[in-house]
Amino acid sequence: MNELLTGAIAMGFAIAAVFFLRFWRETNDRLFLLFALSFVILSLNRVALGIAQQQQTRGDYFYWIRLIAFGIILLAILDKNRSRSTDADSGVRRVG
Amino acid sequence: MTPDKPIADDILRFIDANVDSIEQLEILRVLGEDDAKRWHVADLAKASQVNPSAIHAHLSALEHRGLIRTESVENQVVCQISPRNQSIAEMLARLLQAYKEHPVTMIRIVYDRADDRLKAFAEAFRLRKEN
Amino acid sequence: MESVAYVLCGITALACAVLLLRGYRRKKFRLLLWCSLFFFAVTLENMILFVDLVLIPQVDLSLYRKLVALAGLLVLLYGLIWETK
Repeated sequence: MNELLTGAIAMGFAIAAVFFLRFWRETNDRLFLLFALSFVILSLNRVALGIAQQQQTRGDYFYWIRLIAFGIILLAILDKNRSRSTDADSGVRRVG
Repeated sequence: MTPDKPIADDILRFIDANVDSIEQLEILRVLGEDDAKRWHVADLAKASQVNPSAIHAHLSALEHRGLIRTESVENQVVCQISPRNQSIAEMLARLLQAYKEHPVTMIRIVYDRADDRLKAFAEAFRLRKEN
Repeated sequence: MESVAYVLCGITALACAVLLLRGYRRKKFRLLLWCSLFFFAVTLENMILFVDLVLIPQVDLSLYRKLVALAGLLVLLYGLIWETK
């Protein structure tokens, strides 16, 4: 059950990352690229944790990888608050 | 940005959940003018100024949300305004009333909202609002 | 030492949740609501993680952690799929 959940969670993060990549392509807003990167790392982190659990190794340092992923999100927030204009990074606006 | 907000928050939420585009807003307006009237798709497309090849997607979305009903009559598709329940009926009536009273504002809202969900997501992370 | 990581992750997730909730209150886009709920779930998951591995290491809460994370992800994916064009 635990493994099933870990796999599902890893998959969930990966799918969300793909969505964020699409949003980045649509809006050209760097925030989405950084979120995508963060979610990819979170997904890989879960995969690694899953493998580590199977091999009964203590994977404590994996949680630092999670911290890096969240650090990227923080970076995205800081980046968003540094850029002045709202129009500059919203990219092309689609009609209809 | 208009300084006043004549459109109520619950109508904004209703729009966000039910109206994707100006075309859908116009379809609802035309259908909503007469509760009992059933429209052939071609006539509806002309009255609402929606591209006939695009209208079916809009109709199926609106039907899925419980706002209109479509049926096949003598090999033609006809549609009619048909809110699924009382609360939708009320919100729909208020939406159409707001559209009648503030057409420019409503068009702007729908036009902006269709493209601005992602922008709103990104802007949410701005700590100081420049609104 | 790991507890620092969990706390920082939790704080970041909570910040995201609060910012998105504030954004939802202003702009009424449901996408922001679902994303906010996701980040609240992640915050909760990090809190359970902290409790699980630091406060009561003798009890294994990993199943509950994962259920919370999965629930949050399902809400997020629902929002990403249905609330964007």
